[in-house]
Amino acid sequence: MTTAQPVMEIKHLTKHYATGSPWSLRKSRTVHAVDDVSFQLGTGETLGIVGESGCGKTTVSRVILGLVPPTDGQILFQGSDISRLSRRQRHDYRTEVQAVFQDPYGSLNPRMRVSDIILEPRTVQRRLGRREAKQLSGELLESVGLPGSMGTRFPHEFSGGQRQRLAIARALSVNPSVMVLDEPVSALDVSIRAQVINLLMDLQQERGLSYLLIAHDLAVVAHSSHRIGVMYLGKLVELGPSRDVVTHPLHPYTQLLLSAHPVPNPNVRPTPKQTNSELPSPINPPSGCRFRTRCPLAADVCAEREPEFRELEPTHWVACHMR
Amino acid sequence: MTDVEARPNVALEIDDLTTVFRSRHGVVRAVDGVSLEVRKGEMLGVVGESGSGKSMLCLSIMRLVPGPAGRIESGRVRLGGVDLLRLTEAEMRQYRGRRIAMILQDPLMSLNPVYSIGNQINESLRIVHPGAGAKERVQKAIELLRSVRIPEPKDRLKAFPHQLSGGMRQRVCAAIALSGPPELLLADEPTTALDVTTQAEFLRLLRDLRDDLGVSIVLVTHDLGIVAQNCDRVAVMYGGRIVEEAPVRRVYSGPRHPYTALLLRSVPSLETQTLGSRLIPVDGTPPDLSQLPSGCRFAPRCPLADARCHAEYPPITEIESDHHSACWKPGEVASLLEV
Ligand SMILES: Nc1ncnc2c1ncn2[C@@H]1O[C@H](COP(=O)(O)OP(=O)(O)OP(=O)(O)O)[C@@H](O)[C@H]1O
Ligand SMILES: Nc1ncnc2c1ncn2[C@@H]1O[C@H](COP(=O)(O)OP(=O)(O)OP(=O)(O)O)[C@@H](O)[C@H]1O
Ligand SMILES: [Mg+2]
Ligand SMILES: [Mg+2]
Repeated sequence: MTTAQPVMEIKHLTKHYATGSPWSLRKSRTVHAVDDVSFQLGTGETLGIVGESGCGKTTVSRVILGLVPPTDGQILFQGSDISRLSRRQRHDYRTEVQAVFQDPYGSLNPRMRVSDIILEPRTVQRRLGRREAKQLSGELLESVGLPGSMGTRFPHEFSGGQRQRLAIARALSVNPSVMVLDEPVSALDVSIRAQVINLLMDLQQERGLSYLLIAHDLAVVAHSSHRIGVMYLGKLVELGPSRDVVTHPLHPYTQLLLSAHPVPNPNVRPTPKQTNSELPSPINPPSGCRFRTRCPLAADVCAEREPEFRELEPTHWVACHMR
Repeated sequence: MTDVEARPNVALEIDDLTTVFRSRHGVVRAVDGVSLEVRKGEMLGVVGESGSGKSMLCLSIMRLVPGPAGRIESGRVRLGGVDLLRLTEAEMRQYRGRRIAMILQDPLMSLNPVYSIGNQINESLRIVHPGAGAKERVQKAIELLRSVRIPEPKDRLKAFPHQLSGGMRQRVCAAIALSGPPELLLADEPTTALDVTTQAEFLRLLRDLRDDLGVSIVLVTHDLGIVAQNCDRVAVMYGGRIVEEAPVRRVYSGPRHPYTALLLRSVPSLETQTLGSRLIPVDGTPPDLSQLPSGCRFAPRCPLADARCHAEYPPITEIESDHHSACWKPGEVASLLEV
């Protein structure tokens, strides 16, 4: 379970992008992909992040991984600001923090054998002997539920879901302490999804790994995360223990998400609230509370002031004027 | 080139379709003798284990199986009485995009990274609506993006694929496939990158296409909740074959194949009692499609399997009206769901 010591601290993270062609000098507008987001990731904790498509989840993970610089704010890893690391420390950071991305095909080199792919982060550290490499790749493949002998194959010989397990095996190869998992199971069928989630939970128990788990499937997040953070249009709007967020969500957007979860029973029809046809956009976010244009509770104050993110109940945070 | 009379209610008829891959490890039977019909104006859910051949089934219908390793070995795929497998490539091109369209599972494989998305939508509109002028096409492109709920669509036309979020890219691909709209849509995991509210809107769009325009839809998905809430019938695939096929309600209330039952049992729920508990996978590993057992492919993992199951493959049969299953013991399946 979680300890008080955070392994990672995200402080006032903001990331803006320009729209349109990167080569064009014509008027470009700003995408407010992430705006002033703060949270901590505890050692041995799984923090689930959910939110609407395009709300900035992948952007948060890319900044944490050091793939794009933040526009503003800081990322602290074990207390040090990752923008101020020495070369040596940066190298360590890159092995300590591993990623599994949303799209399983794009992240695997089609010309490399699977065993080389999954050992790649490992061989960056130290060259492996042939026997050692074979054994290690076999173990890694089996740890993600694939036959150990499949290491000699190429990625195109695997189905979408199998490829995603390869990506997980690769991240595991260097014994990281933090894994940023961006939709790690959305390409998997429910059964393998269950296997992978159970596997991730076992690895966490054994090795004290910390996970930032971005996923759309609320049930998966609820089952595997200690806490859940809910994002909407670049903002963190709710954060709390999983059970609390699922059983009594405080933010109207979280309530909307829960009501839209498709129930695996054809005789039960959920009644997701009809959303407003006008779509808010990160290019031109609504004033005040960004959710107000779709919020059933919205009042005047919601357009005027941005709601403060506050701890309404112990460890359960929300940004809403109506609470 | 009509070879047989098309059946009035059937949009697509697949007969004994087999698609194989040749690899250094032998012949992989990705789709192995599949027969299936898609009725006019229905949404047919296709579910099944990862690697069971769902994408290859769809790609075979489109005749887009990646060669030279992969090829359609045999079978018939009839759309309105015409066997697509017997068309020339030039004739087939007349069908793709216009009469049948597919949303590929991996958006990055259908989007070109060096062209703006406006450019790419425009390209497909040129094919689907050859009569439309440039202005009209831009207007239509904006409408399409709006229909898949991409905010500020006009601004986004100039964006390149990498400037969009994963879910936006997926919806752009969907928008391209819907631009016809086609009479048959093959949607391969079209919502994996979408949150539940955007997903709900997208599925509503598909239902509207079905209900208002009579579009027939094959929806491949891992999400049994999506199937329950949107599909009319469901086909369950395992090891390259269809093992169960029935109206949605029947499959959920009384599955007749053990794999379906175990799949239903592994769906995580938001019920509070079970939160934080371990999820229940189906034990065992998927079959190696290059070394298939002679008996039932699910037998090695099936709690009900006996000697006969290991020896003989159960053919798919209609065990009740409109409910098909490939199992020697369909009557015992219910026992798997008792806890
Ligand atoms: N390189 C980029 N240039 C311009 N805009 C970008 C870039 N990357 C992301 N964006 C924009 O930032 C916003 C947030 O994108 P992000 O990928 O973080 O969303 P997400 O929450 O991961 O969505 P999804 O659930 O669909 O994957 C989107 O509006 C997207 O278009
Ligand atoms: N180029 C290839 N060479 C050899 N085998 C292949 C090739 N492409 C696919 N296969 C095999 O064909 C089978 C069917 O793959 P397919 O992509 O249709 O699975 P799927 O049911 O769509 O799985 P998923 O749910 O993971 O997307 C898989 O077992 C896969 O390993
Ligand atoms: Mg994303
Ligand atoms: Mg597939």
